[in-house]
Amino acid sequence: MKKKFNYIYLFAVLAVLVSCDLNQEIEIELPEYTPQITVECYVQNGKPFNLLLTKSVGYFDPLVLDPQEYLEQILVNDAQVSVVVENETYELVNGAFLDPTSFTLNNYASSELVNFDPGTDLALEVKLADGTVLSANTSIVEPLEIDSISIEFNEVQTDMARCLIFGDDNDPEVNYVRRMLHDGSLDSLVIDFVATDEFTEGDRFVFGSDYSFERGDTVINTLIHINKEYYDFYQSVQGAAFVNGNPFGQPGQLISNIEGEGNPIGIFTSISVDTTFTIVPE
Amino acid sequence: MKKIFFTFLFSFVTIVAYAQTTMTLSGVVKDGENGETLIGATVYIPEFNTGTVTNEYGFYSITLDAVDKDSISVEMSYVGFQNQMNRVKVLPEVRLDVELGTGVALQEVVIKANSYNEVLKSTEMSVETLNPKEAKLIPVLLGESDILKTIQLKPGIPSGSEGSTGLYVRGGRSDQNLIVLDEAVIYNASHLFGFFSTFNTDAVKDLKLYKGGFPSQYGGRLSSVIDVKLKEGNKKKFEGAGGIGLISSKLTLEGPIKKDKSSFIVSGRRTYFDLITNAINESNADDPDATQIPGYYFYDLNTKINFDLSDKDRLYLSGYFGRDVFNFSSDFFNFNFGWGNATGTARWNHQFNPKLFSNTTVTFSDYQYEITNEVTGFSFEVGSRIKDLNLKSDFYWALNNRHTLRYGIGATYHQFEVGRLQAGSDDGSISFNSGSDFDGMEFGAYIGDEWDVSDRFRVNGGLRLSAFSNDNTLYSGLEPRLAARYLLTDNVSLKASYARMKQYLHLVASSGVSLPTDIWYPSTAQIEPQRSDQVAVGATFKLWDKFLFTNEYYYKWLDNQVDFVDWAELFANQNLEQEFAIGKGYSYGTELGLEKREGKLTGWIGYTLAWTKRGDFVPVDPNGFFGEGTRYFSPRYDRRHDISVVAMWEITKRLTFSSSWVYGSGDLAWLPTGRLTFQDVQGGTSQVVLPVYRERNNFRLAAFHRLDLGLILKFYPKWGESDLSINVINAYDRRNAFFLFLEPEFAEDATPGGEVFEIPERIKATQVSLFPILPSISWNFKF
Repeated sequence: MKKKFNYIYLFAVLAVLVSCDLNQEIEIELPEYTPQITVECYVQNGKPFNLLLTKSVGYFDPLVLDPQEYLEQILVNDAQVSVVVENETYELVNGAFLDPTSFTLNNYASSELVNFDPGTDLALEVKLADGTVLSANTSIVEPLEIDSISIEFNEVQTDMARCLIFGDDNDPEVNYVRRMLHDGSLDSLVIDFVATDEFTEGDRFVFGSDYSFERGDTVINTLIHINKEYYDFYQSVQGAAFVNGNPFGQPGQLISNIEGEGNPIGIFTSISVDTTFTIVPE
Repeated sequence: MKKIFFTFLFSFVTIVAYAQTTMTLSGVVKDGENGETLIGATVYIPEFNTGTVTNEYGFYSITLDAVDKDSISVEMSYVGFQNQMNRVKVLPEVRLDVELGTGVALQEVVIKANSYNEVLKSTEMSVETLNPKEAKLIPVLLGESDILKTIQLKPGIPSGSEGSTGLYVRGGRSDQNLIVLDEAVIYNASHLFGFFSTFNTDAVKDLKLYKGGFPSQYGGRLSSVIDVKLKEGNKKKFEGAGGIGLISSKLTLEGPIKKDKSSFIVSGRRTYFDLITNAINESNADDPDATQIPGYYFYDLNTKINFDLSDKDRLYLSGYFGRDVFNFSSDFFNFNFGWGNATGTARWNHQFNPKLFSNTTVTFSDYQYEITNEVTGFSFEVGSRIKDLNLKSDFYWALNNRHTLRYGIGATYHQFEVGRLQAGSDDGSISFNSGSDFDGMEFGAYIGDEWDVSDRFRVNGGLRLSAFSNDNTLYSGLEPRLAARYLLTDNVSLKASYARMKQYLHLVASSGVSLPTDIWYPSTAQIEPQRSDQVAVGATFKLWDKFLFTNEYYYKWLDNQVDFVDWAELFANQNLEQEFAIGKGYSYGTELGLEKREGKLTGWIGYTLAWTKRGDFVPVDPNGFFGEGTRYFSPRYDRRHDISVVAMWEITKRLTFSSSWVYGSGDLAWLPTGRLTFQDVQGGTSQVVLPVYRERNNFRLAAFHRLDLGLILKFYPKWGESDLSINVINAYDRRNAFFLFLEPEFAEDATPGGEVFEIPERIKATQVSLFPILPSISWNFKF
């Protein structure tokens, strides 16, 4: 009897052992990947033209961790970049342009500051070293401002507050915005999404938060007025980021407004940014 | 003289009567043990080498011309029952109701070649049937007998990924299958996210799956029709059956209300994981560090009563109610996710005369899902629903010995609640509502004629007129159906078919995996009905009276196919159809099947070789983006090879061994080919590794194969029968891919100060399997 029980016990243990570890690494064989040129350029009144020109790499290529090597791998520094506005051409020179406040890096920038009326058309041209020409178009957006902020405390948890921001939405045309909320600093992103006023009524907009701010916290609200091309592009970026590593996500291609041979990717667009800093009262 | 004249006249009249009697034989064939009508039972007249089969209500009618005998033999047969020969007197109209007996257990009955003959002689092709008794013999996941999963072992019916009940028949998507339970539509036939179907095998009488050659009475979906009939209930005696398994228990009770005249059946099952998890959660209620275990359960209930009101009238009332509930709560939130189907059917069978039979049905169907969540001060509710009310009448008219007509008409009223979202704060300062409601009417009228052109050549031709209206939009169209059979020899038949199908409802699915949150959406002014045209040719061989071999080739054209633009916003979108893209598709392939139904060893081998492509998609919104453009691509479910080998061996009367081995080409996955660095604006989120996807479904996972074994040990106690079912699923522990995910692989590195940390080296792909070798045991009983 004891022997029979031992066999049963052994079988159960073996069954458990072989049952463990349902994960296994597999080899992926895909056709050889041709790098694609990537453009990021956000035109903002009051700032110079700044553009980041890089190239993609194979998804399964080894990761380069040395910052110097990494930048050398991805930056494209041998192109000619220009923006045409109302028949005037603005050349963007190659260099290393690091914004000390935003810590954003660009490798092409103009010396002139952008200052154009809303609705002004802009045309980007990028000539690569191999002769390939990439192009994109956008137009300057209207400013969209946060005109009031409200801090409201929770009735039950009286030390917890939420923040509401308001503004006018008088433009009868469809508006696209990107709304960000930071807690304490611009490194602590709490809310980030793009939205449209296509299905809302009235001429005021409101965005809020949940009751997650404590007394003394700094609430940073950012409202960015964007164009549709950026709305589509950023949604696809958020989607791709979400799908990355998510086996049940539905992939898709990045929606880019960069045109030309070689399947370029990226965004050339105009933005208008309004950021407010509010301290929750003690 | 007068006497001689009248004698002569009488004799003449008698001789004339002998020579010229046209006889119509009709009736109902039933199971002698419980009074259930038998679908597809064979009625054969040996002297005339002709016969017919009972319809879905057990009714048959056959007309014989010029019968010159005073009596004829009528042979009734049905798989699993003893043949019965009756001698009937020749009269213009004869009613013969027959009850067939089993006498012995299923495996011991020598299956006469008649059952193969019916397959040979029928114009039906591209059809698979499954008897619930067979389904119970085949090893299944965790001991849960599942007739819908078992039918996927037949050729040409590949399943979705492991554990899923999604059906992808001849290149069609999973929403292109019409699933009806006692004629009411089931919109989501899945429990537990696709691991099990909603069909309780104990309550099912018959399942028939059409892959092509669709009879004209069916419409509304492009790729398959799965017609499930519930049992009627034992009209002779009260009995019960049930089972206790690892994850659920079930009980079926049936019996006469009035013996031989009316009966009832009630069948239910429920899982009990939640009882265990609730007990654990309660015991940990005082522990602040304890994590609540989510609760999940499903249940379903089938009920039916039926009445033989007279020899010519029968009334059936049946209903199904099933639900899945998932919940997860803590001090801070209360999350509930529920979905399920409810159906109701009322049917009236009426026999006008020996040749004309009708069935009038009213059905109700309701599928909905609802997700609710309450967090401190805030709550939201998301849901979707589709409700149908259907009225139809079908007629079966055995016109003469050459023509059998079927015709009918029906209408369905659809109500759609699409993408319902209600969200808001408890104090009402924030409130958001969205969602769309639609109504639609769907019509169908059809006529079909099964015509015996000659002894060897039979044609089944039909025409269906379908229509759909929604707001001010009306779509309609003709759907021709044609099937033909030529008996080359007594053992070989050649078949061909053509069918046009239209589909007015579309499933909005955010991923390739079928989920309970998928939404049914009607055709509208911008979304035209889907359409398919399918041709098939094939041959059926009866080999040595023991085997049936079939081989079919098909080609299917698909038009107005629905897909979605890249990054479609399917959640709470008031303008959902702006996310649609409309395109085309095609699929083709061959299916081979070898079947043995006789003897101690029975089973089948099936092989399918197929290709499927979709493409030429154009977004409904001109500003929409469909990354593939007009290129044709293979969908995820484009399975090149599919093999199934099923065997059931009756070792002794008490012991049966069964096995099934399946092999399928791996599913396709859409993997990124590149990655880029995305910087973003100030305050945004930089992405060092942002995947770049290009061509769809560019990687094929490893082939899927699995061996399942089962042993059934029967007992015969005084109170009834019981059996112990021992199954081993995935007997050789094959790690089939359930899904694939990508993640960084880290290596250790050290700072100059000696601190060790992990750095990402590369991206690796990891395949996750659903289950290893999985033994299970269940106990079933019958009293």
